[in-house]
Order: sequence, then C-alpha cells, then structure tokens
Amino acid sequence: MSAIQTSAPDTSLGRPGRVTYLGGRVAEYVVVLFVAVTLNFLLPRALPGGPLKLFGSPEALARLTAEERAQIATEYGFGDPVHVQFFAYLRSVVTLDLGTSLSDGRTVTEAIGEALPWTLLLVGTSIVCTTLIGIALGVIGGLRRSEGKGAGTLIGAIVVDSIPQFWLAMVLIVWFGVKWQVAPTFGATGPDGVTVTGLAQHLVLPVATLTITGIGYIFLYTRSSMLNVLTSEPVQHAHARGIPRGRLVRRHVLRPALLPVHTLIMLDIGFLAAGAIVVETVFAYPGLGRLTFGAIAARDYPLMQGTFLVLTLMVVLMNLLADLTYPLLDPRTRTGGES
Amino acid sequence: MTLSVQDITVRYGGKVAVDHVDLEVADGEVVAVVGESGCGKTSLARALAGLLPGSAEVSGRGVLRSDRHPDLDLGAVEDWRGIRGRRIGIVPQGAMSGLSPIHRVEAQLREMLTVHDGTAEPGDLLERVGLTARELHSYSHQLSGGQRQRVAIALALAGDPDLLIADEPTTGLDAVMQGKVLGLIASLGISTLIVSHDMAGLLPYADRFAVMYAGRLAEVVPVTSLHQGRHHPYTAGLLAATPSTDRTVTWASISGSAPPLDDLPEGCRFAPRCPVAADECRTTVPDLRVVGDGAVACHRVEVATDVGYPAVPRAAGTCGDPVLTMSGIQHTYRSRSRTTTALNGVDLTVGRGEIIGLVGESGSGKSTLARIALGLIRPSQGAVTLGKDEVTGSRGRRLRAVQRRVGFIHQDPYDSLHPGMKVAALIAEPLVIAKVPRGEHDGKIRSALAAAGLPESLLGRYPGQLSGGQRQRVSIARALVNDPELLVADEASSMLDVSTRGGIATTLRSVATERGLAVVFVTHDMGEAIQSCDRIVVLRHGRVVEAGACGTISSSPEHEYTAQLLAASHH
Repeated sequence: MSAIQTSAPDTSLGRPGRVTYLGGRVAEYVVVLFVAVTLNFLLPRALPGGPLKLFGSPEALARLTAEERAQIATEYGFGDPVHVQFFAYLRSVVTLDLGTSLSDGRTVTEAIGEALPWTLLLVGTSIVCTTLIGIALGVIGGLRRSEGKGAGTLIGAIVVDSIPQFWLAMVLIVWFGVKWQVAPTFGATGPDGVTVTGLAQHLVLPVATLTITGIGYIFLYTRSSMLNVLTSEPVQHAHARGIPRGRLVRRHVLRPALLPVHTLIMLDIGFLAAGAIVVETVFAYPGLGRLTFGAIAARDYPLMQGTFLVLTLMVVLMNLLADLTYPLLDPRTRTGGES
Repeated sequence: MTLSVQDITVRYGGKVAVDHVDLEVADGEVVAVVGESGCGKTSLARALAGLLPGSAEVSGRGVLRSDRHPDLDLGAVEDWRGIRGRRIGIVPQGAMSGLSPIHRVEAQLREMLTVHDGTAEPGDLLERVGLTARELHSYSHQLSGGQRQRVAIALALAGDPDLLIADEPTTGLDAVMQGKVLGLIASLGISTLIVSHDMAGLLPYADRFAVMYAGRLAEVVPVTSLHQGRHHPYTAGLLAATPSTDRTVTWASISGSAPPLDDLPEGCRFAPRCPVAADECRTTVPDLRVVGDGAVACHRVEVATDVGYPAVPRAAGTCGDPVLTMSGIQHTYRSRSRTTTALNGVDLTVGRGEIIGLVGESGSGKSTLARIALGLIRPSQGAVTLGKDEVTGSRGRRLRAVQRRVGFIHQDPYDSLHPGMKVAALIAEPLVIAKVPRGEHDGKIRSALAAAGLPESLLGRYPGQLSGGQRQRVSIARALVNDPELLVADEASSMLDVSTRGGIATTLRSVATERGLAVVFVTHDMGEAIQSCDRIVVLRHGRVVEAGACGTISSSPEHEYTAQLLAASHH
C-alpha cells in the first residue's frame, strides 16, 4: 500500500515525519475498510436463500402471488441490479442511515444503538478479567518454566483453551443457575429494571464463560513470549552485568515480552466488541452478538449489513489503534529516529 | 596480582571443557585467552564470572584481589550478586544485539550505576569510551556496531570493577573498528581478560597470551617474546594462519580441526594436527614448563622453531578469457521513505582461472554486487554478461539457465545447509534442479567432493555432525557439482576459525586452476584478499576506489582508503 504513501524526505525527524507516518497509516486503513465494507455487502448475498423466503411464516409466503413478491422486492430494493444496490448501500454506510430491519421494523441504527452498550459492558468486563488473569498467569508460567518447573500449568492451559464456549456456558447454567440457583442465567437485567446489583448478577455467568475460554491462549502466548525474552541476548547480557533477577524481570523482560500480547489483545477487543455471538445467544444477553445471530437466521440483509459493519469498523479501528500505540511501547518501531 | 586461579576444571556431564587451567592477571594487565572455537576459552571466562549453566560442574581455586575490597575467594562464591558488575565487569559476547532495545543508553547506564552503587555520571562513562552526549539519548538500534560495543564497555565500567572480562569483543565489527575497540579496552588501565579467536588482531593490545587447545593451556607467553624464542607449534600455527597484508609473508593453515570434547586423543591433544609430532606426543601428556619468559606444554618445543604448516598457493599467473563482465553497474534500493544508492558505476571483469577479491567494509556495496553477479538482483543500470549470455536481460527460464552456470558459497556454513539432509543429498541438489540424468549424479558428486577436499566417508553424514570448515567445504562441493563457470564466495571464510581459512583459500585456488573457474571472492579482510586472490577491487560507498594486482596494492596502495584498510589489517 505504499502507493498512497506520500514520500517523506530522508531527514524525516520530528513533526513532519510523524504526521506523514500517521497520515499514511490512516490512509491504509481507509482502503482496508473499503474492501471490508464491500465484502460485507457481498457476503450476505452469498448465503443460500433470500429474505423473501423468510418473510413472515412459510404459509404466508406461499400465499403471496408473484406480483406481490415483486412489489415487496421493489420496495426493499432487492430487484435492482447488484451495482445499484451496492451504491445505495455505500451511501447508507456513509450517512449511517442503514435502513430498516426486515424482521422487527426498527431502523438498523436504532437496533444497533440499543444492543451496543450491553455488548460493551459484557465484553469490556470479560476482556479486563481475561487480560489481567491471563497475563499474570502467563508471566508466572514463563518465569517458572525458565526455572524448569510448570509443565502442569501448560497442560492445564491447553485443556482450558480447548473448552468450547457453548458447552461451558451450558455447564455453568446447569450448575450455578439451575442446581444451586446462585446466578441468573437469562438476559441482562432483573424484573426491577436496571440496577447495579442486577446488572452485576447477570454479568457473572456470561463473563465467567468468556473469561475462562479466553484465558488459555493469552496465557500460552504470554508464557512463550516470556520464555523468548528470558533467553534473549539483551536479558542474558543484563544478567551477566549483575542486574538482580527481580529488577531484570521488571525492567528488561516484562515490556518486551508483553509487546506481542498487546497486539493480540487489541485484535481480540476488535472481534469481541462486535458481540460475543455464542455467549450472548446462550445467555439471551441483548447485545450485538445476539442481534447478529438473529439477523443471520432471518436473512435480514439490512440488519446483517449493519452488524457486520460494526464488526468491521471495530476490528479495523483496533488494528489501527494497535499499530499506533505499538511505537509508544517499542522504540524500535518509532519513525524519524534513524541515526 | 588482581586475579589468580589454579586448577580450574569445567565439566559438562562427562565432557571436560576446561582441564586444570592456571591463569593470572596482574594489576592493569591485559591477558588474552586465545584459541579456536571449542577450545574452552569461553567456558573458562564464564566460570570466572559464575555464568555457566547449572549443568556445568566447576572446580578449582581462585582469588580476586584489590586494594579497595577484601580478597574474594572465587571458589567459595555462592551468590554472585554484588560481584558481577561490581568486582568483575563483564562485556558479554555479541554486544551488537545485547543492549536493551527499549531503554535509552542513559537509562541503561543509570541502572548499572544504581545497582552497583557507581559514583560516576552516565556522561562521564560515555566519554571514557569515546562517545558523546548524543549517544546518551540514543536507543541501541540507532547506534552503529562500534558504538554499541563501546556502550557495552561503558556499562561494564559503571560499577568500577577490579577485573574486566571481555568475551570476543570485536565479533561483527570491521577491521578498522576492531582495532579501535581493542585499543580502547587496553587503554582503560583495568586488569582485563579478553577472550578471542583472533590472536593476531590482539598483538598490539594484549600484554600476555594464554593459548588454549582442547581445554588445556598450550602456552602462556608475554607479547614481547612472542616473535622470538621457542613456542608451542599451535601458537606458531595460529599466527601463521592469519593472512598478512604483506605478500612476501606466506599464509599457512593448520590442517584438520579441534577434536570434539567426547573424543579427545591421548597424549598431547594437538599431536594429530601437529607437523612436528613424535611418538612421545601421542602417548604422554606434556606438562606446562617454563620456556623463556613464558610456559609451554610441548615435548617438541626444542625442534619446533620452524614448524612448516602447509602454505596457501599463489596464482600461476595466467588467466584466460573473461567469464563474467559487469559494466556500468548502478543499483539503488528504494523503501517507503528513502532511497539508498548501493552501487554507483562499477565495472568488473573476471577471467577463467582468476580469483578476484572484492574488498570493502559493511555497506560498501560488495554484497549487492555479488547478488547482481548471481542474477538475484536486477541492477537499476548496467549490464552483466556470463560467457556470451546476458544475465541482466534474461528472465524466467533463460535467467535460471544462466544462473545454473554460477556456483554460490554462502557466508554462513551453519545456516546454509539444511540440517535434515545428508551431505550426499545436499551436494546433489543443484543436479536435481538442473534435471541432470540420475546416472551422472554419483560421478559428479564424488568429483566435487574431492575437489572440495572432503573424504567420501562424509557423504552419509548430516551437517550437524561436521565442523565449520567441513560444512563450508560441503558448500563448496555443492557449488561445484554442476560444473559452473563462475563461483561467487560471499565472505565464505569469515565465520570459520582462522586456522581453517587458509585451507578454504587453498581449495578455492585449486578449483580455479584445475577447473578453469572464475572466482569472485567477497571479503572484508584485506590480508585474506592479498594472500589468496589475483586481483583486488576495493569498494567504498558503491564505487571502485582502487583495483589492481594483489602485489601492487599490498606494497603501494594508491588510494588513501586502501592504505587505511591495509593499516587496519596489518599484523
């Protein structure tokens, strides 16, 4: 994508260089976003079956005459040639007027607007838990491994990492929700509306599911990154220079070891922010994930395009954020610093 | 006396890496421990600093004395905190990649000062190693190799140690920078132990040499009496194996390679490679005894005055028609934000049976030129012809056909051979690619193997079972197997022990003469080029600054830069 990069002079020190760099990165992501948005338009149309097949009940559908079908298709624009639909779609993306949901009559913007805060609450909480626990365990695991211990933790992590989300969700529902009745299993709020305790209680099981299934690979990633850095030359040399172990780990190991984990977590946030489809569906949590699931099930093109757009935006945005924050953590990737 | 150790022995499992070594470093003295790779010199240095892995067993006695601290019994140290960095300063091997990548130089120096209660200021430490405040605020990746090495030395000085241990402090630096860094270490006035494979390079800077072979001390000798009196044949070999920039001095090589630790010969361990070995050497271990100002462990030291190692042959003086012609080569690398002109109008001709030395320091464009000759890079401007065929204009199948007539020897014999393929399969690969009929493979492989100086018994081995020199010979055999017209050797001996370099040069000379090959020998070592090539082309900043016959360049260089290179490699 260097074509859209305005060339910087060799002595790109300080501001002009940095601005060019930022501009270049953002321009790259605009291109990525356009490609992704185009795919969002094409993918729903690649699904077998169309919205008309699921319009109302099958019986009602069967009673529709050919004329009536054509009328519905015209109304929603399905009858137009694909390129006309595409430009209409692009216009709607830019103006954020994403049309009306086919299944419940709300506007797509409205539906997403209602679901988004729930997803952010659920996913935000679980990302914080996953990251903190996963990294802490990974760091400990890496340090223990470098002393020749901790094979058990590795096996444990691989087992936890292989647990399917839907299975864990159902096990939690059966034990904690049904058998011991200590946590609600359904929805995001209790009967008395939005209360802090109600919200927290309803978060317990879905967050537990997302956290437990998410910890494994953050742990494994952090651990192997720790091991790489612990045996790297700069750390070996610092050890030879007499830097004590505690200080060595804090100052010379942690930051380089967490660099790749940082990227991983950023991408994770991007994917999850568009909704945790399985968990939200199992726990009937009213977030974006469940909305997406419903939209796919109903072949609700406008809603699908809308939720996919949010997913795309989030992933691209977090990628960009990871790209832009990385140089803050790793001086080697800073531009304009050549000697 | 700052350091005095006796009977140091290091064992890894059953293998003895360091075998009852005694060593002393006087106040302010620079002692160099030298020898080929695997001789135990690094194990010795690491044992002194408590840096060996847990699997190593160390025994022996050692005392570190100073007028500022109480005597330290090195054998009784349980906890190395407060010793490394404060009593013993370490300059670890590979400073090129050993500084912290995420901290500025100043922060790294401050950390060492804090941890080791140093009283200096970071700026003063940098000044002491010849750097300025500009480097103080730099990150490691913004510094050159020489600057990084200086920072590593400054870090070792932060705790004001009594003893400095520097492990191969010049690896990866070019000749000019090597001299500067060693000169700096020698000028610090601290008792220093330098571990190095480059004995000749240390001659101007070390006070005393401890020559190690296969875990034992072969000789301990002050530098002042190194060029007179009687010495261990191995010491003589190491010095003779360093190519001189004076073409009247012959260049020799020690045949064979150091024995593996689990298969050590009886008696004197050097006997199998020693030209003057007698029966006694193969049965009885020689003791280290006083000879002149030093000590030598050799039964034959009385007769070992003129050892007579095999010399690297010179050119026959005739060279045939041009094989490779490069004219007006210009090449520019482009990236996002910068363009770098690697080559700027270079002409080069190599004839049949001729070895051309392409000399220059890193960044001079010599590797780019070699890649262009191989047809791997298409130059921005200029033409390359091989025999009658144009390389630069060819693409696809025609280019590959031309490329098959060029053999390539890579710099790194450790990375350039697939570890999972046997020697026979490695050498056969160019034949398979060129679709040479199966029936011809065997004969060609055996002929290439013989030309590269390897016994056929190695055909069934894996690269991991070979020494560095043997690996590089496998590379040569692979390059020769499909009867190329041109051989490109990119720093082919730079990663090998000095003792085997002459052997590789001898082999290249014999294939050039016997097979009528044109050879492009890329090197940064002026001495090596002068000793083994017919003509030398000196590159700097992408231009040819001087070209001519080896003898002429050696005795009367015209360009100032050539003279500088000669001075830097002058031993």
